[in-house]
Amino acid sequence: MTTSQTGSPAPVTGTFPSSDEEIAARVKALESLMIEKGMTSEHAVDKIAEMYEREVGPHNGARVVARAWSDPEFKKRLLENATEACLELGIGGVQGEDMVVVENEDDVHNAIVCTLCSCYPWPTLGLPPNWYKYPAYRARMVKEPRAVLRDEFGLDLPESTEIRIWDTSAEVRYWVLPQRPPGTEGMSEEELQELVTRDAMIGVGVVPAPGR
Amino acid sequence: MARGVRSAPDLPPGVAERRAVERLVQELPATEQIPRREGELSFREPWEVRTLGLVVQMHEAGHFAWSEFQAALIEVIGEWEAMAADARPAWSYYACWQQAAERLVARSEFVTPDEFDQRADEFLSGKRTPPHTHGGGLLTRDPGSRPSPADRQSTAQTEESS
Repeated sequence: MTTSQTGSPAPVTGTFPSSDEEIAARVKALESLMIEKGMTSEHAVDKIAEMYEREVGPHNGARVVARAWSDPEFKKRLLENATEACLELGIGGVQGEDMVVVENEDDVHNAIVCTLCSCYPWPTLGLPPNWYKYPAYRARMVKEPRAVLRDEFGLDLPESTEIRIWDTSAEVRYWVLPQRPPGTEGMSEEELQELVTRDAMIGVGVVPAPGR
Repeated sequence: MARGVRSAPDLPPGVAERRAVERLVQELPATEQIPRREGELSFREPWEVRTLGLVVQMHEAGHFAWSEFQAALIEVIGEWEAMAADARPAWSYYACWQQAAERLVARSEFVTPDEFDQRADEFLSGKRTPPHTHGGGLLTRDPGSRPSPADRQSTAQTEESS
């Protein structure tokens, strides 16, 4: 593909990337080169991006959860192969990323963490919240998850509930299928979507029953 | 960051900064095409926020004038519009934004085109994922008082403690 060139310096490639994967790689490339050359810092870009983090919401993840709650066959496929199941809804990971969805049950609660950096299931959950990147969250969630959930997130799980903490890495992006709250039996998928929160899919919260 | 914006002490945190970004965005071409939700800038993909953050930050750090970015964006949008409808990718404001940023950087000779293309290719092909060599998987199990099956994978310590 060529673009008009009227004596101006040749553009880097002059093409418009057509896929999100391609353009996401170009954005990362530009940022990493600018950081290397001392022209910006990750922190400086973060500061601006964070102002808008809520604007890239976990809409995709909420769609997947609502579908899984409404369609047992889809849920089965999701738990077997989340990457494939999400593609059914047009939600794709970046190349090389596999998603694994872990299901909360009556006596098992799951949560995710990235122990080294801030790997996060972006395609479904949007941008990670600030605290997700803090070393304190990463370290304490591994050492004493029950206390962190209770003290930091107000999620006081019964002592009889087993807690599992999953390491989301660049290769495998874990995220949580929360339990469907009571009182939602007659709700449509669209209504259910509205209930699903980012925190519930990270595993630092649960989906509240409607009206609470 | 909020240069040029009168400080209003009763504003919640972040509002003055958002307004500073808003003021920049208002001066761009095709500003009515910028995706919004309830009046606020909205984003479909995380990369859109990163490219916005990068460009705004580099401008604020004095690496280029906003008028230079405006001119680059006008050029890119013009090129997109001039392409045959069946030969161009779907319209994306932030794709044009990123393209404009790439051109500014290339012209300023901070980065050579080869260097940029190679780096983008490394990210795309997965060669340059940050060193996330932590293994993934189940890290910690706190069984609580629930009886634990003997054969279940038990707590795996994080070797990497960096």
